[in-house]
Amino acid sequence: MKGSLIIISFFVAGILIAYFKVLPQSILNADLSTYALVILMFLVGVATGINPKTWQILKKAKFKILTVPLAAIIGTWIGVALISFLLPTVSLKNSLAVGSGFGYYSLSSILISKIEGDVLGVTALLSNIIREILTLLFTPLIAKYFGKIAPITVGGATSMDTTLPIISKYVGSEFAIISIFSGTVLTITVPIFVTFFLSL
Amino acid sequence: MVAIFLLLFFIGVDVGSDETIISNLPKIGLNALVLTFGAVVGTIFISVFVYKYFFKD
Repeated sequence: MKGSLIIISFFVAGILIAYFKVLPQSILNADLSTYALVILMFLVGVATGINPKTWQILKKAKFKILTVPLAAIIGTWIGVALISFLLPTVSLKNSLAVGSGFGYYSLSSILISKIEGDVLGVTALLSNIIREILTLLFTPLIAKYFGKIAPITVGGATSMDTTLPIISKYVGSEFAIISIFSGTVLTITVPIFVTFFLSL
Repeated sequence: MVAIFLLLFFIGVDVGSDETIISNLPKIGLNALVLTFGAVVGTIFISVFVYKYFFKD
Protein backbone atom coordinates (compact mmCIF):
# COMPACT_ATOMS: atom_id res chain seq x y z
CA MET A 1 0.00 0.00 0.00
CA LYS A 2 2.89 2.35 0.70
CA GLY A 3 4.08 1.83 -2.88
CA SER A 4 0.62 2.73 -4.20
CA LEU A 5 0.51 5.94 -2.12
CA ILE A 6 3.87 7.04 -3.47
CA ILE A 7 2.66 6.31 -7.01
CA ILE A 8 -0.58 8.31 -6.64
CA SER A 9 1.32 11.23 -5.14
CA PHE A 10 3.49 11.40 -8.27
CA PHE A 11 0.32 11.31 -10.39
CA VAL A 12 -1.37 14.10 -8.39
CA ALA A 13 1.84 16.15 -8.48
CA GLY A 14 1.82 15.82 -12.27
CA ILE A 15 -1.81 17.02 -12.48
CA LEU A 16 -1.23 20.00 -10.17
CA ILE A 17 1.98 21.10 -11.86
CA ALA A 18 0.30 20.99 -15.29
CA TYR A 19 -2.93 22.61 -14.06
CA PHE A 20 -1.21 25.55 -12.39
CA LYS A 21 1.09 25.92 -15.42
CA VAL A 22 4.31 25.59 -13.45
CA LEU A 23 6.01 23.88 -16.38
CA PRO A 24 6.75 25.74 -19.64
CA GLN A 25 4.56 24.81 -22.63
CA SER A 26 7.50 23.27 -24.51
CA ILE A 27 7.80 20.53 -21.87
CA LEU A 28 4.04 19.84 -21.97
CA ASN A 29 4.22 19.44 -25.74
CA ALA A 30 7.21 17.08 -25.59
CA ASP A 31 5.04 14.00 -24.81
CA LEU A 32 7.39 12.89 -22.03
CA SER A 33 5.01 10.13 -20.85
CA THR A 34 5.66 8.32 -24.14
CA TYR A 35 9.43 8.39 -23.57
CA ALA A 36 9.03 7.17 -19.98
CA LEU A 37 6.83 4.34 -21.28
CA VAL A 38 9.39 3.36 -23.94
CA ILE A 39 12.10 3.06 -21.27
CA LEU A 40 9.75 1.00 -19.06
CA MET A 41 8.88 -1.33 -21.93
CA PHE A 42 12.55 -1.97 -22.59
CA LEU A 43 13.23 -2.79 -18.92
CA VAL A 44 10.25 -5.18 -18.75
CA GLY A 45 11.31 -6.81 -22.04
CA VAL A 46 14.79 -7.51 -20.68
CA ALA A 47 13.36 -8.99 -17.44
CA THR A 48 10.89 -11.17 -19.37
CA GLY A 49 13.45 -12.50 -21.84
CA ILE A 50 15.98 -13.28 -19.08
CA ASN A 51 13.46 -15.34 -17.06
CA PRO A 52 13.55 -18.99 -18.28
CA LYS A 53 10.07 -19.55 -16.78
CA THR A 54 8.67 -17.19 -19.42
CA TRP A 55 9.17 -19.73 -22.19
CA GLN A 56 8.04 -22.69 -20.07
CA ILE A 57 4.74 -21.03 -19.17
CA LEU A 58 4.09 -20.05 -22.78
CA LYS A 59 4.58 -23.68 -23.91
CA LYS A 60 2.36 -25.06 -21.15
CA ALA A 61 -0.29 -22.36 -21.50
CA LYS A 62 -1.24 -22.80 -25.19
CA PHE A 63 -5.04 -22.65 -25.47
CA LYS A 64 -5.70 -21.80 -21.87
CA ILE A 65 -3.88 -18.51 -22.38
CA LEU A 66 -6.99 -17.38 -24.28
CA THR A 67 -9.07 -17.70 -21.11
CA VAL A 68 -7.28 -14.62 -19.73
CA PRO A 69 -8.55 -11.99 -22.20
CA LEU A 70 -11.91 -13.85 -22.21
CA ALA A 71 -12.16 -13.41 -18.43
CA ALA A 72 -11.48 -9.68 -18.85
CA ILE A 73 -14.15 -9.32 -21.55
CA ILE A 74 -16.90 -11.34 -19.85
CA GLY A 75 -16.17 -9.99 -16.36
CA THR A 76 -16.20 -6.39 -17.61
CA TRP A 77 -19.47 -6.85 -19.51
CA ILE A 78 -21.27 -8.49 -16.58
CA GLY A 79 -20.01 -5.77 -14.20
CA VAL A 80 -20.92 -2.73 -16.31
CA ALA A 81 -24.27 -4.28 -17.34
CA LEU A 82 -25.30 -4.66 -13.69
CA ILE A 83 -24.10 -1.12 -12.88
CA SER A 84 -26.02 0.38 -15.84
CA PHE A 85 -29.32 -0.54 -14.15
CA LEU A 86 -28.32 1.81 -11.29
CA LEU A 87 -27.49 4.71 -13.62
CA PRO A 88 -30.54 6.54 -15.06
CA THR A 89 -28.46 8.58 -17.55
CA VAL A 90 -26.35 5.76 -19.05
CA SER A 91 -28.13 3.06 -21.09
CA LEU A 92 -27.13 -0.61 -21.15
CA LYS A 93 -25.58 -0.45 -24.62
CA ASN A 94 -23.70 2.75 -23.78
CA SER A 95 -22.37 1.19 -20.57
CA LEU A 96 -21.16 -1.85 -22.51
CA ALA A 97 -19.45 0.46 -25.04
CA VAL A 98 -17.66 2.36 -22.24
CA GLY A 99 -16.64 -0.92 -20.58
CA SER A 100 -15.34 -2.29 -23.89
CA GLY A 101 -12.60 0.36 -23.80
CA PHE A 102 -10.84 -2.06 -21.39
CA GLY A 103 -8.64 0.82 -20.17
CA TYR A 104 -7.63 1.94 -23.68
CA TYR A 105 -8.94 5.44 -23.04
CA SER A 106 -7.48 7.36 -25.97
CA LEU A 107 -8.99 5.17 -28.69
CA SER A 108 -12.29 4.30 -26.98
CA SER A 109 -13.08 7.91 -26.00
CA ILE A 110 -12.36 9.21 -29.51
CA LEU A 111 -14.53 6.50 -31.11
CA ILE A 112 -17.39 7.05 -28.64
CA SER A 113 -17.23 10.86 -28.96
CA LYS A 114 -17.50 10.59 -32.75
CA ILE A 115 -20.33 8.03 -32.77
CA GLU A 116 -22.37 8.85 -29.66
CA GLY A 117 -21.31 12.37 -28.60
CA ASP A 118 -18.98 14.15 -26.19
CA VAL A 119 -20.77 13.35 -22.93
CA LEU A 120 -20.37 9.60 -23.33
CA GLY A 121 -16.93 10.18 -24.85
CA VAL A 122 -15.71 11.95 -21.70
CA THR A 123 -17.38 9.25 -19.57
CA ALA A 124 -15.36 6.66 -21.50
CA LEU A 125 -12.21 8.74 -21.15
CA LEU A 126 -12.56 9.07 -17.37
CA SER A 127 -13.77 5.50 -16.81
CA ASN A 128 -10.87 3.99 -18.73
CA ILE A 129 -8.30 6.33 -17.14
CA ILE A 130 -9.70 5.29 -13.75
CA ARG A 131 -9.34 1.62 -14.76
CA GLU A 132 -5.67 2.18 -15.55
CA ILE A 133 -5.10 4.12 -12.32
CA LEU A 134 -6.91 1.49 -10.20
CA THR A 135 -4.70 -1.17 -11.77
CA LEU A 136 -1.56 0.80 -10.97
CA LEU A 137 -2.75 1.45 -7.40
CA PHE A 138 -4.30 -1.87 -6.42
CA THR A 139 -2.28 -4.49 -8.33
CA PRO A 140 -0.33 -5.39 -5.14
CA LEU A 141 -3.59 -6.01 -3.21
CA ILE A 142 -5.42 -7.73 -6.11
CA ALA A 143 -2.49 -10.09 -6.71
CA LYS A 144 -2.35 -10.94 -3.00
CA TYR A 145 -6.04 -11.71 -2.51
CA PHE A 146 -7.37 -12.76 -5.95
CA GLY A 147 -4.49 -14.58 -7.64
CA LYS A 148 -2.13 -13.85 -10.49
CA ILE A 149 -4.64 -13.51 -13.32
CA ALA A 150 -6.86 -10.80 -11.78
CA PRO A 151 -4.28 -7.96 -11.98
CA ILE A 152 -3.76 -8.78 -15.68
CA THR A 153 -7.49 -8.79 -16.51
CA VAL A 154 -8.25 -5.71 -14.41
CA GLY A 155 -5.47 -3.97 -16.37
CA GLY A 156 -7.36 -4.87 -19.57
CA ALA A 157 -5.78 -3.49 -22.73
CA THR A 158 -3.22 -1.59 -20.62
CA SER A 159 -1.66 -4.84 -19.35
CA MET A 160 0.57 -4.88 -22.46
CA ASP A 161 2.13 -1.47 -21.84
CA THR A 162 1.41 1.13 -19.13
CA THR A 163 0.45 -1.28 -16.33
CA LEU A 164 2.80 -4.09 -17.42
CA PRO A 165 5.70 -3.00 -15.19
CA ILE A 166 3.66 -3.05 -11.96
CA ILE A 167 1.77 -6.23 -12.96
CA SER A 168 4.94 -8.17 -13.76
CA LYS A 169 6.45 -6.98 -10.48
CA TYR A 170 3.61 -8.50 -8.44
CA VAL A 171 2.58 -11.61 -10.45
CA GLY A 172 6.11 -12.57 -11.49
CA SER A 173 7.83 -11.99 -14.81
CA GLU A 174 6.80 -15.49 -16.01
CA PHE A 175 3.22 -14.13 -16.16
CA ALA A 176 4.37 -10.98 -17.97
CA ILE A 177 4.11 -12.74 -21.34
CA ILE A 178 0.48 -13.66 -20.57
CA SER A 179 -0.09 -10.04 -19.58
CA ILE A 180 1.28 -8.83 -22.93
CA PHE A 181 -0.79 -11.43 -24.80
CA SER A 182 -4.04 -10.54 -22.99
CA GLY A 183 -3.45 -6.79 -23.37
CA THR A 184 -2.73 -7.22 -27.08
CA VAL A 185 -5.90 -9.27 -27.72
CA LEU A 186 -8.02 -6.74 -25.78
CA THR A 187 -6.45 -3.78 -27.62
CA ILE A 188 -7.48 -5.34 -30.95
CA THR A 189 -11.05 -5.94 -29.72
CA VAL A 190 -11.63 -2.35 -28.50
CA PRO A 191 -12.69 -0.77 -31.84
CA ILE A 192 -14.73 -3.89 -32.73
CA PHE A 193 -16.78 -4.13 -29.53
CA VAL A 194 -17.16 -0.35 -29.00
CA THR A 195 -18.64 0.21 -32.46
CA PHE A 196 -20.73 -2.97 -32.15
CA PHE A 197 -22.45 -1.91 -28.92
CA LEU A 198 -23.06 1.65 -30.13
CA SER A 199 -24.66 0.33 -33.33
CA LEU A 200 -27.30 -1.65 -31.39
CA MET B 1 10.17 1.58 -9.70
CA VAL B 2 11.60 5.03 -10.48
CA ALA B 3 10.44 4.59 -14.08
CA ILE B 4 6.87 3.83 -12.86
CA PHE B 5 6.88 7.01 -10.73
CA LEU B 6 8.00 9.04 -13.74
CA LEU B 7 5.32 7.51 -15.99
CA LEU B 8 2.55 8.33 -13.49
CA PHE B 9 3.88 11.86 -13.07
CA PHE B 10 3.82 12.44 -16.83
CA ILE B 11 0.33 10.91 -17.22
CA GLY B 12 -0.74 13.39 -14.52
CA VAL B 13 0.82 16.20 -16.53
CA ASP B 14 -1.16 15.07 -19.62
CA VAL B 15 -4.44 14.98 -17.66
CA GLY B 16 -3.83 18.29 -15.85
CA SER B 17 -3.11 20.16 -19.09
CA ASP B 18 -6.33 18.90 -20.77
CA GLU B 19 -9.06 21.50 -20.12
CA THR B 20 -11.86 19.13 -21.20
CA ILE B 21 -11.01 16.55 -18.57
CA ILE B 22 -10.60 19.08 -15.76
CA SER B 23 -13.84 21.01 -16.41
CA ASN B 24 -16.00 17.87 -16.83
CA LEU B 25 -14.49 15.95 -13.93
CA PRO B 26 -17.23 16.49 -11.30
CA LYS B 27 -20.13 16.26 -13.79
CA ILE B 28 -19.41 12.94 -15.43
CA GLY B 29 -16.86 11.58 -13.00
CA LEU B 30 -19.31 9.75 -10.78
CA ASN B 31 -20.86 7.76 -13.65
CA ALA B 32 -17.38 6.84 -14.87
CA LEU B 33 -16.22 5.82 -11.40
CA VAL B 34 -19.25 3.60 -10.73
CA LEU B 35 -19.01 1.94 -14.16
CA THR B 36 -15.32 1.23 -13.64
CA PHE B 37 -16.04 -0.21 -10.22
CA GLY B 38 -18.49 -2.66 -11.83
CA ALA B 39 -16.01 -3.59 -14.55
CA VAL B 40 -13.20 -4.20 -12.06
CA VAL B 41 -15.30 -6.25 -9.62
CA GLY B 42 -16.80 -8.35 -12.45
CA THR B 43 -13.36 -8.96 -13.92
CA ILE B 44 -11.85 -9.97 -10.58
CA PHE B 45 -14.77 -12.35 -9.96
CA ILE B 46 -14.29 -14.24 -13.26
CA SER B 47 -10.49 -14.14 -12.96
CA VAL B 48 -10.47 -15.87 -9.59
CA PHE B 49 -12.05 -18.92 -11.29
CA VAL B 50 -9.80 -18.75 -14.34
CA TYR B 51 -6.73 -18.65 -12.11
CA LYS B 52 -8.01 -21.48 -9.92
CA TYR B 53 -8.89 -23.85 -12.79
CA PHE B 54 -6.27 -23.06 -15.44
CA PHE B 55 -3.16 -21.55 -13.90
CA LYS B 56 -2.73 -22.59 -10.28
CA ASP B 57 -0.17 -25.38 -9.90
